[in-house]
Amino acid sequence: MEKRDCILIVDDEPEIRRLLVDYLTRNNFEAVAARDGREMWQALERHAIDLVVLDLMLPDTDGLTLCRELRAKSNLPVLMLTALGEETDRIVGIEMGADDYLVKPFNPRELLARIKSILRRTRALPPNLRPESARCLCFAGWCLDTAERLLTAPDGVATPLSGGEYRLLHILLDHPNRVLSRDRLTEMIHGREAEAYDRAIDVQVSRLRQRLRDDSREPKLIKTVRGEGYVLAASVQRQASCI
Amino acid sequence: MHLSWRGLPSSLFVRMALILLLGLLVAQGLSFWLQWGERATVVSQARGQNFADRMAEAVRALEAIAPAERSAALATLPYGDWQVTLITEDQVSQNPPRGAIGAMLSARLGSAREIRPLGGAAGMGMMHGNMPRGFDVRLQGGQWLRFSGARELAPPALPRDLILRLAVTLMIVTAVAMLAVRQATQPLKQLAQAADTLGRDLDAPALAEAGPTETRRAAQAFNRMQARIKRLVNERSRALAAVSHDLRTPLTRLRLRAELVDDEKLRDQMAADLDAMAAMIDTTLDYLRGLQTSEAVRPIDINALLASMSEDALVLGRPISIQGQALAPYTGRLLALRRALQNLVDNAVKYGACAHLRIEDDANELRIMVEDEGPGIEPGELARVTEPYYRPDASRSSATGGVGLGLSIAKDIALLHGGNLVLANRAQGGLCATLKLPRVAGAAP
Repeated sequence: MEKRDCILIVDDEPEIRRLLVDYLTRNNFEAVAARDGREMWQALERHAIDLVVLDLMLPDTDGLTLCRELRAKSNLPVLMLTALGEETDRIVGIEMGADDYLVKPFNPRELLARIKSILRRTRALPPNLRPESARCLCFAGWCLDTAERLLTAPDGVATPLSGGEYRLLHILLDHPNRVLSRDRLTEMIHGREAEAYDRAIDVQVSRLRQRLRDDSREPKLIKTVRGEGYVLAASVQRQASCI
Repeated sequence: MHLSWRGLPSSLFVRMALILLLGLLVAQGLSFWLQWGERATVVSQARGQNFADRMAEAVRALEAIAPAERSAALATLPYGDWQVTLITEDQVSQNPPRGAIGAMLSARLGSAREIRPLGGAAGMGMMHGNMPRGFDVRLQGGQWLRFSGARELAPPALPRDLILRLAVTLMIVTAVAMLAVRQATQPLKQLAQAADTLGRDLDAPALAEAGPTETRRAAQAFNRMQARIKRLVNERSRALAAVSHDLRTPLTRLRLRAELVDDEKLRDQMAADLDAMAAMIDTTLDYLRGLQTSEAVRPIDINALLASMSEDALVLGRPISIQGQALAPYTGRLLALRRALQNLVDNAVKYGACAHLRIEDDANELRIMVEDEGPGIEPGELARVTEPYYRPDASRSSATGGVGLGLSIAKDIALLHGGNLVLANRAQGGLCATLKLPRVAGAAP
């Protein structure tokens, strides 16, 4: 049997801690709980944690500060939980380095799916190549705000992206000037093996080209490498904000 | 005093300007009339002196010669415009003597002479400068002499430069009056503008508390009111956030506990109930937060917005068709617009089984139609379904969930953009919700 991923749950509500540990254990994870920042650091020393589920509101240090401290020390992925549904909280959470964000009450299955997706994404690359987190990825005059999940064109027009388009662009921007195969892209986006003759990725690339006003017959930004896959032909700057 | 305002223009500026000008004209006319009278008096007095001189001269000359030679001497006297004749006792004017002319004549001759003004002008005072047409004077010895004017003596015409001066004064005063009225009405206009902005943006900058006392006080009162409204709204939001936070924690526990239930059907039902409760909290908060959105206004690629929504819906197994295209980016609030459209699409899918998006665009207005193929809405209910918490058919919505806020939120967002949400039943069945978004001139990038 393969080694189970270990999840650390940081929440000040004892019942939620217990229920979450229970739920994750039943779903093939190992789970450890901590009630505040102090316990979190202890748990991190004692166990080999793969991902932290962090509540935004904690009694001693708040979740945002913890998240930032955690980011400063390690590449450990963080999923934020909050009982405040404000859009601005989500943005702040992502800015502080959280990989994802869920609002309470969440569907436990959604939590599972997100945990799996984050682990998959962070493992797609060896740790030394894992991109450092930055809110904005700028390329060829365009700018992708990963907190607001918003793409801004060189002329300042906000260009909304679908979930699929966003994930694809994010992956391409994480690997500029590197050829990514269809299989690899499909796996990173959908978490499944590409099926034979799977055209989903090609459809998504062509939609994304359209969003980026890239001519599909002679693309300049997302180029097709015949027989291999796709490559983003631009240098990417990581910035704190889109200018 | 009751003044009828009917017939007057509605603008306060014009009204005040008209009233002021009317007052000024009357005042100017009155002062002109008084000046005219004064001037005439002075002129007639000068003429009286002159006349007295002439009369005294003639009387002295005629009294110095014998009565028989007088009629011959008359011709040699220089009278200018005056006629001098000898008259008999019965021709003498019967008017009683009056005015200063008698005294003036006596002063010049050294002794009194009987003097009678000529008729016609009897009732007329000196006020208008018209002297009597002439006088009958009794010489020493009883002979009467008549001096009569060759023509009616009018006061001299007004000199041209006086009229010019009056016109210039009037013009200056008019300009100053307009300026004063503008000064008075300008703050009102600003106040109205500020009140308008406040409706859309609670965080609008405070009014400048400057200018005359009244203006300053109005601005201060307005700013205080704005601060009060802001505080109220913020307090309400905070209270709501606290309540929703406290509700979310037990809901999370329940949601996790529901996963422990072995009966799959029961578990799904519990999950659905909990989802509905969470959605209620979310939409209620959304609605109450709705119009105080501090989201920045920016140009948005509407085509990309609709395409992304359609693709996201496809993942959930809800195909959405899109017809037409926006011709240019629309300047607005992205999250708000997305929420409005999402609500309309959700509604269409919920009640009408599908959603067709249609875009109509021109230089003035962007219209996004969300159409479904459901039963539509009773014509009588069309206007009411956008009211918050209103649901046309309680039984139907309890089956489909929802709080009755989706359309209210969409409408509020349309209003926030200066537009509107119009609902109509389609001829071929189903509902058409039109999001009308005006393109503000100059707002385009």
